Amino acid sequence: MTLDKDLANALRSDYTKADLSGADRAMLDYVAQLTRDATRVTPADLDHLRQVGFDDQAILQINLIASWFNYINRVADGLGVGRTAVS
Amino acid sequence: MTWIKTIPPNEADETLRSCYEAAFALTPREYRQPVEALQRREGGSDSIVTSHSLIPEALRHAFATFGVLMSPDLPLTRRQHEMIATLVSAHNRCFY
Repeated sequence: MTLDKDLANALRSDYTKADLSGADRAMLDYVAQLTRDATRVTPADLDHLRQVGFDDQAILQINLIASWFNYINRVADGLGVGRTAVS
Repeated sequence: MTWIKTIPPNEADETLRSCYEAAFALTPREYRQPVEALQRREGGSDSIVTSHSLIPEALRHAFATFGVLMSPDLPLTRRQHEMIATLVSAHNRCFY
């Protein structure tokens, strides 16, 4: 993990309060919406990503990385990975 | 401990072992250290990689996909990868 501690903590508590570039903020807005409720993502959200400089390949990469971590979170939580023995 | 049976690398047959090896063959070198957060070096059974071990091809492809998505040839920076991972995991309140 190369993120500095303050940024990592801000991302964990409220990413909207983190000190981010416009592009990174737009990226994380998309990631947050995708994670919360992907059905509410619209073409306008993608246009916003393009406005801050992401091309279609970058948009795809953002989506696939966010989707992969959503996948791996569910694999881990659904199978008890990392948990100590509980009753 | 994972709630299903797992087969760590040191107990794997040839098929599963080749999947463990292939899984991270495409991961950029600088990710291999942090990737230890995903896979215990000693081959312990309680890792997110090993959790896939009953379906070796799923293990191979899921983690090969991770490696591909982190490629330095793609547009995002490592910092951006980590921000996305941190935000998603925090949002899911993922224990792991």
